Amino acid sequence: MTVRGLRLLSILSVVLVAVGFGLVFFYAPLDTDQGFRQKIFYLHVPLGIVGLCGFIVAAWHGFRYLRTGDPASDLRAYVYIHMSQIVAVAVLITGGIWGKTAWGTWWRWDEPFLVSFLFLFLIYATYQVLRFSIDDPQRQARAASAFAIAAGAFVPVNFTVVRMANQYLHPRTLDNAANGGLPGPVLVTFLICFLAIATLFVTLVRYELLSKSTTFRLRSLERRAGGDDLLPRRSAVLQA
Amino acid sequence: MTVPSVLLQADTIPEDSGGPYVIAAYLVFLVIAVVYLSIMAQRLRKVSKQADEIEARLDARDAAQAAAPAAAAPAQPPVADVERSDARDEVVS
Repeated sequence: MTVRGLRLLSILSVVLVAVGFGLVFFYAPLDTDQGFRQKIFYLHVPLGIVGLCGFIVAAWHGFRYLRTGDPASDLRAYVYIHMSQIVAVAVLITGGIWGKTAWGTWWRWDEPFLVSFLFLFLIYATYQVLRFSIDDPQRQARAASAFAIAAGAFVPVNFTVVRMANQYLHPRTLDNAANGGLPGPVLVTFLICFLAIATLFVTLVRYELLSKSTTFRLRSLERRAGGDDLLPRRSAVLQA
Repeated sequence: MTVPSVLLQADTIPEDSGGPYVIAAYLVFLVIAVVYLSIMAQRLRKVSKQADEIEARLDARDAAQAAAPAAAAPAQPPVADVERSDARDEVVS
C-alpha cells in the first residue's frame, strides 16, 4: 500500500470512529438495566474481537513463515501481535471501567472471562522477550513463528472453554445478538463501531508494516552509499 | 436533538452509572488514536523522504560513473542482492 493510500485509509478510520462514537452517544438508546455504563460495550467488545482476531492472523502469518521462510510473513506476524497487544491493554482498561461501575470493583479474580483474557495477554507479553533474546535472525524468526502459532491456537480454545463454564457474570453480548436480542439501534451502532475499530486496527498495522519496510530500504540505501558523501546530513533531515 | 444542545446538557450524564468513566474512556481512546496515527504518518513521511533523497543521489552517482571510463568505476554489489540480504538479516528491528 502506498503512502497516499494509507492517508486515505487513515481519514476513513478517523471518520468511521467519529461517526461510531457519535452514534454511541446521540443515537443508541440507554440500556434499561445498566443505564449509561452499557455504552462502554460499543468500545470494549469491538476492541476485544479485533484484538483476538489480530492474534489469530499473527498465527496464520507465523505458519506461513515456517512453510515458506518468507521474512515478510514473520514481519507481519510481529506487527499483528504488537498491535493486538496494544488493543488488549485497551480491552483490559475498558473492561475494568465496566466492572467498576457494574460490580463496584475494577477486577474479579473469580470471573473466568476476565482471568482467561489476562492470562492470554500475559502469554503474549512474553513474545518480545522470547524474540529479542535470540540473536540469530533466522532462529529468532522461527521461534517467534512457533510461538505465534501456539499462542494463536490457544485463543479459540480459551474462548470456547471459558464459554462452556457454567457460572460467570460477564455478559454474553454476542449470544444475545445471535438470538435477535439486540434492538435495531444498538445493533447498528455496534456494527459501525466494530467496523471503525477494525479499520483503525488495519490502518495501524499497515502503517507499521510500511514504516518498517521503508526503514529497511533506507538502511539498504545507506549501505549502498557506503562512506560516500551521499547521505543527507542529520541536521538537514531534522530540519525537514 | 442536535449535537450542540446535547453537549450543553453534559450535566445530565449520570455519575452513578459510571458516566464520567465511560466518557473519559471514549475521549482518551479517540485522542490516542488520532495522535498515534499522526505520529506514524509523520515518521513514515520523514523516512520516505530520507530514502528518496539518498536514492536520487545514488542514481546520480551511478549515472556519473557510467559516463566515466568503466575501469575507473568501483565495483558495486547488485541492488537486488543488498535488499534481499537486508530483508533476511533485519526481519524485525
